[in-house]
Parts: sequence; C-alpha cells; structure tokens
Amino acid sequence: MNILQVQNLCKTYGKGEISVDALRNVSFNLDKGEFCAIVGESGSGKSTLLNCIGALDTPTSGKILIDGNDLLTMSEEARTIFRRRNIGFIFQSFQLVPELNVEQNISFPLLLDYRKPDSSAIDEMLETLGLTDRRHHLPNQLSGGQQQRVAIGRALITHPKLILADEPTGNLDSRNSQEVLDLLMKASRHYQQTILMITHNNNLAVSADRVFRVSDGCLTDMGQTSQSKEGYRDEKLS
Amino acid sequence: MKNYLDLVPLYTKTHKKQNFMSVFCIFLSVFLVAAIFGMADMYIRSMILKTKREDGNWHIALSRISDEDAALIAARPEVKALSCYGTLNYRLDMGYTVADKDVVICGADETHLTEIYAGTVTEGSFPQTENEIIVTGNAKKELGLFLGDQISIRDASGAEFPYTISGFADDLPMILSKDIYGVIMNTAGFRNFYPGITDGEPDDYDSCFLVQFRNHRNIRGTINDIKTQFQLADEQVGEQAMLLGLLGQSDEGNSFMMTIYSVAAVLSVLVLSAGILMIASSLNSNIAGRTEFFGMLRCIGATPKQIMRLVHREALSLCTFAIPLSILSAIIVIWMLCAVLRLLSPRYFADMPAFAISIPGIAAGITIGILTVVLASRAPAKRASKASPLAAVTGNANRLAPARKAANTVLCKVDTALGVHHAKASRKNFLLVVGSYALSIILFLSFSTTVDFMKHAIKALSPWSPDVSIVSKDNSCTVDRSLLAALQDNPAVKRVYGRMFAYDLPTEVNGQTGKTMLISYEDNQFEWAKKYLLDGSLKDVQNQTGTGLIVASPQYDNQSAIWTGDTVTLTIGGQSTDIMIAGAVSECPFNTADGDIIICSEDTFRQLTGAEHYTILDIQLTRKATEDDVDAIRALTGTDYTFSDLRMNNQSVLGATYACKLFIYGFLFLIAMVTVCNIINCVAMSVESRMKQYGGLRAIGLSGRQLTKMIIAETSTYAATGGICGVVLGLLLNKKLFELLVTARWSETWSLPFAELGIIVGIVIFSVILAVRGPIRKIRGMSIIETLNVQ
Repeated sequence: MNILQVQNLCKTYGKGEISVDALRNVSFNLDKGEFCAIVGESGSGKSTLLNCIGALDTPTSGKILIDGNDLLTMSEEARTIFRRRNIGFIFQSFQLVPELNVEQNISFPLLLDYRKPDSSAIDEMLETLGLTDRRHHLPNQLSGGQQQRVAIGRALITHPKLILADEPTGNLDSRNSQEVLDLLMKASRHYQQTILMITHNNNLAVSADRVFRVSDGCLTDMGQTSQSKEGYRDEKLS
Repeated sequence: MKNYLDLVPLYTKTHKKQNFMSVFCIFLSVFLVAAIFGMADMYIRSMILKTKREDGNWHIALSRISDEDAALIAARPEVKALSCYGTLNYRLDMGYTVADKDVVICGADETHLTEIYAGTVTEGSFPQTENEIIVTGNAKKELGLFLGDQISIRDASGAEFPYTISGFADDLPMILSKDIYGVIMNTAGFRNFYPGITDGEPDDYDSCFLVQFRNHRNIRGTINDIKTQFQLADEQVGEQAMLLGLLGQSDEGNSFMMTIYSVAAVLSVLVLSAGILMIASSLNSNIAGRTEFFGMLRCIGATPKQIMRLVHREALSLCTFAIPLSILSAIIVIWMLCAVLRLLSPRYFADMPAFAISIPGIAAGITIGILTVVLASRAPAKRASKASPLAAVTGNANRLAPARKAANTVLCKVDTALGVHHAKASRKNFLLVVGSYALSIILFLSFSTTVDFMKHAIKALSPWSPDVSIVSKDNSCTVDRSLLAALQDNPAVKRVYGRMFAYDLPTEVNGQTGKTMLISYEDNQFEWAKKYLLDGSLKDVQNQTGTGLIVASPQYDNQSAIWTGDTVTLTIGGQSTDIMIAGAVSECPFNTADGDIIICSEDTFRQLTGAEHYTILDIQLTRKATEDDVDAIRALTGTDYTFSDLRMNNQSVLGATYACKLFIYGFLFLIAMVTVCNIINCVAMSVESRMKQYGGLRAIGLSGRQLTKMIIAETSTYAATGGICGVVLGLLLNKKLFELLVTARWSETWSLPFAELGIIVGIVIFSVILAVRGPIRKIRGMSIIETLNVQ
C-alpha cells in the first residue's frame, strides 16, 4: 500500500537566467513500513525534496499524495493539522522547544491538537527512548544524542504514517548516530511507519530498506540494500 | 580597511534590514526630544511675542529717578532703549474727555513707539512739538479725524486744550472694551499738560522710565548693577515679570517658575529614560541575533574590549543617519505647528517666522540623542563582549536565552503557555520591555496634569463671552429692549442676549440678613447654565415666576447660606417680596465681592423690580462679521450707552489658549505615538528574534491561528505587566505633579484621572492589536522553510 506518492515533482528557485532547478521531475512511491534513505552531495536537492514532501516548501509543479491526500490543495490550516497528525519531522538541529521539558516536548504535537496526552503512552515512549530519568529536564540540560532522541519521541508520539528525517545524525557522534538509527528502525518495524531519511553517512544508508540518490535535482532509485533485503523480507513474512 | 572599526560601516551597509529597528528607535527618541524642546521653544517664542505686543517690549520700569540718571542709564551698552512713560486719567477718575468720551492721556519718548511698543503708530509720526498729539484709531474712526486736524482735550473744570494730530495709533484692548479714547503726547508736552505741578513738584509726573535691555543673558546682573550704581530702592525698580520669566531672567514669582521648571525636568528625565529603554531593547535584540558573529570575531583574536568598542561604534554609526533624519522631521513638525498657530491666531502669531529653526531643540535632540545611544548601547556591548568563541566554532549560538523553567502547559493551552513563557524567558529583556511600556504610560499620565494646569492657568473663553457689549452707563436697567429686537435682525449678529441687574438688594433668609445681586437670564443663558447646575431645576426657574437660582461657587470664599428650597425675602424699593430658590449653579459670568447672586427669569425680574429694560446687551458676532458691521451696530447703539468692543480681549485669550493647547496636546500626542511605536517595535523585534523557532514549531504542527495566539499571549503579558506598573506609578506621579502644579495654586484636590487613564489604556490595547498584525501577516506570508532559514 502506497503511503507516499511523488509524481513529476519540480522545484525551481529564482526566475529567468538566474533560475536554478532544485528538483527535476522527481517521481517515486513509498510503501507502508518502508525505511528509505536519500543520499546525495550537498546542494543536490535532498532537503528541498524532503521539505516539499512535508509541505514545508511549495513545489513549482508536480503532485504529492500522502495516504491518498494531496497536501498542496489543502488550506494552510488544514495542511498544518494534517501534518501535525500524519507526518513526523526529525531535524538535524533537533528543533526542540527550549521552554518545554522532555515530557512536554514529546507530547507537544498532542498538546497542539488540544488533546490530553496519555501518560502511559508517554511513559512507554520515554522508556523506549531511555529518557525516563530525564523527563523533567529542559533541552539545554541534555546532550545532543538525548535531544535527538526527544525529537524522535516527538515525531513518533502521534503514530504518524510518515516520518521525515533530515540528517538526524548530522550533529551526533557515531555511537549516538547508531542509537538514533536503531530507534528509527525499531519504530519503523514496530509501528509499521514509513521513514524517509536524508543522510550523508553511507554506513547508515545501507541499513535502510531502499536508497535513493539525488544528483542535480534528479532522483535515482538505487533499489533495496542487500542488508535490508532479508530484514525487510523477514518483517513482511512475520 | 585601516582599522578593525572600519568593519562597522561595511557591516551596517550590508545589514540595513537588521539595523532598521534600531535606527527607527533612535529616530523616534531624537525626534521626540527635538520636537519637545522645539515646541517648548516655539511656545516660549509665541508667548514672548504676545507679551511684547500686549504689555510692551520692556524689562524694567524705573520710577522716581532724575532725567540725568535716566540719560546715564540709557547710555549703558546693555540698554537698547529707554523711554519715559507716564499716564493721566488711567483709572478714568480725573474727568478728562475728548468729544465727551473719557480719555487716557499718555506721555512718552519717541523710542516708546519705535522700540517698546513697536508698530503702534499706524499713520503719521510721533509728536515733535508740545502741541502735537497721537490719537487712537477708534477716535479717528468715530470722530472722522485726519492728520493735521485739531482736537481738544477737556479737563474736569471744562477747560479746553487744543492739539494738532500728528499720527494715529493702534487700539488697545482696554481702550475698546471701556469705550474710551487714548492720546499720546511727547514727554515735554505731557509734563507741560500735567496738572498741579508747582516748581517742578511732584517731579515724577506719575511717570517711569521703561528700559529694554540689548542682551538677554545677564539681565539680573545688569539690574543689580544699575540698582547699586544709582542707589535705587527695590520699590523704584519694577519688573515686567512675564517677559523676564519667559526669558528665564525673572526673580519675582520665581518659586512658581521653578516649580514649572522642575516639572519639565522630571518629564525630560522620563523622556530620556523611555528613549534609553527603547533603544537598549532594540540594540539588545540586534546583538542577541549575532552571537555567532561576535564569537567568530573572538575566535580570530578580538578582545572583549574591542567587541564592546565595535558595538558602541556601530550604535553611534546608526545615529549618523537617524539623528539628521529625526531633526529634519522635528523641524518640519514645528514648522507645521507654527503655521497652525499663525492660522489660528494671526493677530498674535503673525510675527512668528514661517520657517523657524529651534536651536535649543536641535541641540537638545542631538545631545540627548547621542547620550541616549551611548547609554543604551552599554548593556548590549557588554553582552556582545561575552560571546563565546566556541559559539562560532560549534554553530550552537542560541540567539535566545536558555530557558530556566519549563512553561506551564497545565494551567493554559500550550500556545498561550508558550507565549507567556516567551515574554518571561529573559528576565532582562522582560524588564526592558515592561519598563518601556510602563514608562510610556507614566509619561502620558504625568504630562496629562499639564492639561489641568492649563485649564486653570488660562481662562478660556466661556460660551457666553460676547464680542461686543452695550452697557448702561450707570449700571441701571436703561438699555432699551427694542434694541435687542433690532440687533436680532442684523445678519452680522449670531446671538444677542440681555441681562437685567439689581445691585445690593437687602435680603432676609432663614432669619439671616444680607445683600444680594439679582440678575435676569433669558433662554440662551439658561441653556449655558445647564452645565453648572448643582441642584434643583433650571426649567422651574425659567417657567415659574417668583423662583430663582442661587450661585454657589465653591471657588469663592463667600459661600452662600442659601440653598434650594429656601425662600428669600428681597427688599426692593422699600417693599418686601419673596423669591423661592428652585436650584443652585456653580458658575455665572459675574461674581460679587460680598453678598449672594440670585439668577431669575426676565419675567420674575420684571415682576420683582418693575424694570422693563436691560442693564447690558451682549452680542456674539458671526464669523463673517466685518469692521463695517461693528460700526453699524455702534451707530445703531448711539452715544447713550457704553459700546464695549471685547474682540481684541477675546483674541488675546484665544491666542494664549491656542499656543498652550497646541503645545500640551501636541506633546501628549507624541507620547501616545511613542507608546504605539514602542509596542509595535517591541513585538516586531521579539517576533524577529524568534522567527527560526516559530519555523520549527510550524514544521511540527503549530497552526497559523495557534501562532497568532502565541504572539498575542506574549504581547499581552508585556502589556498587562507594563500597564499595571505604569498605571500604578503613573497615578502616583500624576497625583504628585497635580499637587505641585494645581493644588498648591488653586486648592483643587486631586481626583482619579479616569479620562486620561482610559485613553492610555485604550492606546495600549490598540497598539497591541496593531503590533501583532504585521508580524503575524509576515510569518504567514513566508513558507515554513523560509522562517526556518532566517539568519
């Protein structure tokens, strides 16, 4: 079942002679529970693609359907609410709310929905993230790895269908990077969530089910990684 | 680049957008100061012009000095003009007349009309011989006089003194309102005419020497010097206190002037503080956003001191654009105000230069502007110097202060909780913003006391003020009522209303005896009296004969024992008659030194006194009424009554009121504008500094509506805290200043200024609404990724 459908996506910055094509006719689909990595040089258009998919930026042309919904035709308010409930974001720079503690940051998307967070779900998430003893800490009292784990918790708490991660390990050391990746993979497997992750790290990319390469705004499907083929098949079978 | 400080102009050139807010704050502060001082300067100038025109351009009057001493004083380099000046029949009690009308005779030197009352002679020249004379314009018009005509002054014994007319002079308000003539002789002619002089005694001819000084800087010293040199007693030296006071050289009534100056000083300090807070918060926000930049400078070897110098230089460099612009704007505003004054009261402000430059205003603007910027940049410079070199290396420079406490998401929704938390996140910033809000309110409430001061100090024209009055010569009811009907038909007359007077009527009420003045009112006057009704009913007095109103003004000492419901027995023409008091008013156009005032309808007055005609007819003219129209009314009136022309007096009152109102309301408007701009600026800066964070929040699901709520919550937190502090402190200061300016002089007690309070609170609320609109629209217009990428 396709969770994400991207069709002929184009994004051009500027006009006339100084225009730059950041994305050129990008098309691909992602299935439910798929964990995909996007690799590419700096400035190749990876982040632009992710931002367009998450409706953080508006594409010049093309279509994006998330679980059959076209975000670009929605009103700003409806798009925001859809994004809040169905897309989880993980940024390289964490983007935690400095005024909220760990627990509040994780439950933030629920609070924005004016929903009362389920304390058992929060406890479970904190346990999964290994942050139970840090639940009342503010972001500035946490290490980089811990902050990124909070960001992952925030992205997962609403059980979104799609998680978009823009270099989630970019600011972390190798140990923390591996931990973050393990968490993402665990979530993908456990909650059947589709994850699209940008990374520069080839070691991390090989852990994904599929790898896309973006070069000069064009996307190439590199196919399934050998490492993932078995895992993904096992998961499907089980 | 020869010096590291050369980085400043390069930076400011390429970061105009980031510096805009700071430049705007400096502009606003300097504009405010320059405009305040400029307006104060303009006000003083206008009052000096008015005083010189009405009371003469002299500083001291020396009496009982010899002509030789006067000549010696005139020869002093500090003295610009000296004129002998004396009057005869000034109180109209010596019986001198011209063509059967009272005349005031004045003796003066030529300098009196060229320097002291410059421009008084409208035609002809100063009397060169003892037989020549200048007469006032009203005599020329009424008697049909020409230059060279003969005119006679008659004394009380009936003796005639013929003179040749050498010139005509401007009318003075007093001449027109009393319906008399004025003549001016030269000093020799005056002394020759002066009666009762035997062998040169008394030798002062009821005269004095008016002195005008050349330099206004040390008038006090010169006066003391003259006193010592000529051994003059204090009584021999009179001062033109108003003019000297305006020139800052007064000694008389200094305590009150000092009170006014001390109030001005308090207000200036408040303006300065408001400016410092406003500029400091904008620079602070500018610096906070550049921690990485300063960290980078530290990385490559800049010392903290060098960073501080850089910030100071940067702040001052912003002045190079902001200060000239604000000074220019202030000058334009002052020109506009001068034009308005000239338009409103051409008689008094016609001499005001069309394009006046206020040197004190410009100097104060520049000085205080630079001082404000230097003081305001201290804290941000210190903050910048503390930037860690690590911040630049790691790129972890968080432009926002780290949170100390988590936001309370239990008590209110997360968007509101975050907004409130944003406001309180940095204690220093919170205090700065709240302080600047509070200061604007304090400034407004403090300065609003000057409105009360103005209302007391300047007696504005009452609605019943006439332009022309026709008065019975002996204050009896002899002005024919048929005149009223004739005047009502005159198209130049807007309103005409008569009053009948009965003076010193013996009264008895509740067993107590006294004296009463009885006045009749007609419909117009009853309508105006509505505003002053303290008790009872005006309608009863208007419609029921035998009823009256008692005037019970709390401002007079002679508080009446009579009140509504009392029956007063009046003795008129030996007969007793009763009048029932049906109401009380606080104000009437007349007051009496002793006894009560009872107002009744014309019917009641006629019934009580038997009088048929009026004592006075007051006329209000239409705007289009010309001099010819007034002459026609004068001709209709004839010579049986006193024709009192009060238009010049009214213009004088209006002129002073306009100047004062323009200054005070102009200043209040500027303060209100500063409050509005300050709040808009604070919100814009706060939003700008959190733009990236807002981007992040929007990316994870914060809707536009929630963002609006968050910004409103933040702004409201500042406004509510600043408002409460401002209102409490502002009211305290308002009370103190009111006591200093009003209570001490007019004994009026302070009461809560609800109107001013309502206005400033309204302005704050309006500003908050206005302030959040722009930034919210801006963010909503940007894509999330744009807000995330904001530098």
